[in-house]
Amino acid sequence: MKTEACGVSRRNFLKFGGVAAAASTLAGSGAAGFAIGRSDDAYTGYGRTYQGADQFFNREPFRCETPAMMDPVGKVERPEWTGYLFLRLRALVTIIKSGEWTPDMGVDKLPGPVGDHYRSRPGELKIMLESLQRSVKRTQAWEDGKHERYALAGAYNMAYRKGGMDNSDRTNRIPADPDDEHMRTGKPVPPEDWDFRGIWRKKPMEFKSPAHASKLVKRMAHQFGMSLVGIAKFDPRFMFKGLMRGMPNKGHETWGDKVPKHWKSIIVFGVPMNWDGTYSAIGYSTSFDAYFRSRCAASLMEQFLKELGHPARAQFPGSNYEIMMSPYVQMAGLGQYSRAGLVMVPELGANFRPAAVITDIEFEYDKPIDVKMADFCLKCKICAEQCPSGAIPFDDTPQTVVRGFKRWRLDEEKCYQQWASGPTQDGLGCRVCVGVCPYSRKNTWIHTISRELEPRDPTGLVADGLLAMQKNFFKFQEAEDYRSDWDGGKESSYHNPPWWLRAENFLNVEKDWEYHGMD
Amino acid sequence: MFPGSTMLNYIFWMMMGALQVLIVMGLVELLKSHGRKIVWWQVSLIYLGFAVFCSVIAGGTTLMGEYETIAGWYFIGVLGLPVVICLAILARLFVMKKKSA
Repeated sequence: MKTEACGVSRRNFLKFGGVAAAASTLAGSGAAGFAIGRSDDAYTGYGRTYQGADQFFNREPFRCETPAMMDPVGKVERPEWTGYLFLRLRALVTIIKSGEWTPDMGVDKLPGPVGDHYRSRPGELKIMLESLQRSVKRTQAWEDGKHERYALAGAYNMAYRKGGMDNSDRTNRIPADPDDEHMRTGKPVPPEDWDFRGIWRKKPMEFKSPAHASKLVKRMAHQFGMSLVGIAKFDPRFMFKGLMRGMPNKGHETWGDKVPKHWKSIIVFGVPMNWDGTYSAIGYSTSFDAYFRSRCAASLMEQFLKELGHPARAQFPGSNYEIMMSPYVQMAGLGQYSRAGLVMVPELGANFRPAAVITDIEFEYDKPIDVKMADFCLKCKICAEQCPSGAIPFDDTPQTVVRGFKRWRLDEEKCYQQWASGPTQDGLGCRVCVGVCPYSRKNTWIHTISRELEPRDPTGLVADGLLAMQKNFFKFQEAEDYRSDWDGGKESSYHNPPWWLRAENFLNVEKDWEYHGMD
Repeated sequence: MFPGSTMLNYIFWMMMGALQVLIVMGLVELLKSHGRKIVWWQVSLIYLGFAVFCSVIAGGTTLMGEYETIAGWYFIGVLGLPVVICLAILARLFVMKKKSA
């Protein structure tokens, strides 16, 4: 009787109410989805890091004995120090500046180990010399006007670089570096001294067990701001020969292939670069935000272990290493090699910037993982298609044997050429391959479903479906368009830069450029 | 959904839950008004289709939230269309179908 008085029957109320509820649910789903996509929680590495919540992928079902592309196919050789691009670049520039050699003398007369390196790799010296010329053009372009468009991106980049990473007077670097100590004092600083400096305990504290040591150190890595952490036994196969920071000329002439006796374990940890900046590579991205954070953590971890009486030595970016980092990231069970030569991790894709600490503690070591990321790379090739320098191979399967391991080989010289041509004041980086990688995605539910389903699918159909969506739904640029305008490109980016890196939003600059990326 | 609030998220999802009750009850009433017998699995199937459609919408807008607007529209268009077709077939079979004489 009451419903009739109101003019609405129970049936009509439920029918029309149901329609209204369905419409509201649809609207709510859309709104909730949008909010999740833009949520702070999607920015892995910039939120709940300190509780360890960034390492949310359960690796245990995927543990294996040998990581992808790390089963030797020939004699395994340790890398020479000249295999490290920045060291050979530095050595090459030193030779040129000294007048000992000039480019017109040709590669045959290039002296020293750098000469040996380039003579064994025909054509690579020419690319490197072109890169040096491009650096000059880049500097000129910056002074001519790029300093306005990229004012905020450049300032963000340099804030990290000069705020503790690279101090020209070799002081107050984070972490402290034995090479700085050697340059200041002129005395050799061997690892047997440097790694033990500041230890005040007469005897190191003993852990209850290796498992306890691992659990504590991993928690501390998160506490020091690291998104991911893994621990591996130190494997000298991936330590450079002729390289020891703190020794004269970094040990190039004297160190040989020695391995310090106390280097028993390696703790590997790291963080992602800022997501929105990385998606707007080249010009608006920087590695230095992640470098800075992982370096701070390396400094803190080094000191933490020393406070407990154990020797420790930080290995940190940009170029303060005795080791190749990628193999250790794999051995510590954090990720897998990719087509682009980077190690991809489940939580962050290719957007992972590691540092490490080597110590003598016996840990319960992590095993490598196989989450089929490398299998996805077989088919994907988006990074190779998008690479503005053509440095990433298109081979269907890994073809190149590198020091005894068959893998995709990134052409470092070509890659660096793009670095040298970047639009900001120091170039130093491209990161397009990182930004466009289908695994380099923020932490939202649709990517979680993909991340969890794909490695568990034995048929490969999920990977095929995801790849089809990635290639057809997502808008990419032409590879050449990423280059600077003086280099034949449009200075495009995958996404448009975030609002806080757009100079025209905050500074009195005349905007005479267009954005070509995704908004 | 509501950055900075510790309460509104929970209230939002509780309201969404309550709306689902209204949707199912409305569907049952709709079937009754068409003179259909209420069969639990038919109601479940239609609701499941609706839930999948909502997920597709949410997936698309999630991509839009990630600044992947074009991918978001493609996601809704390509994945949503089959769901809409399936829902139309279900409605034709379970709601609109004429009773056999």
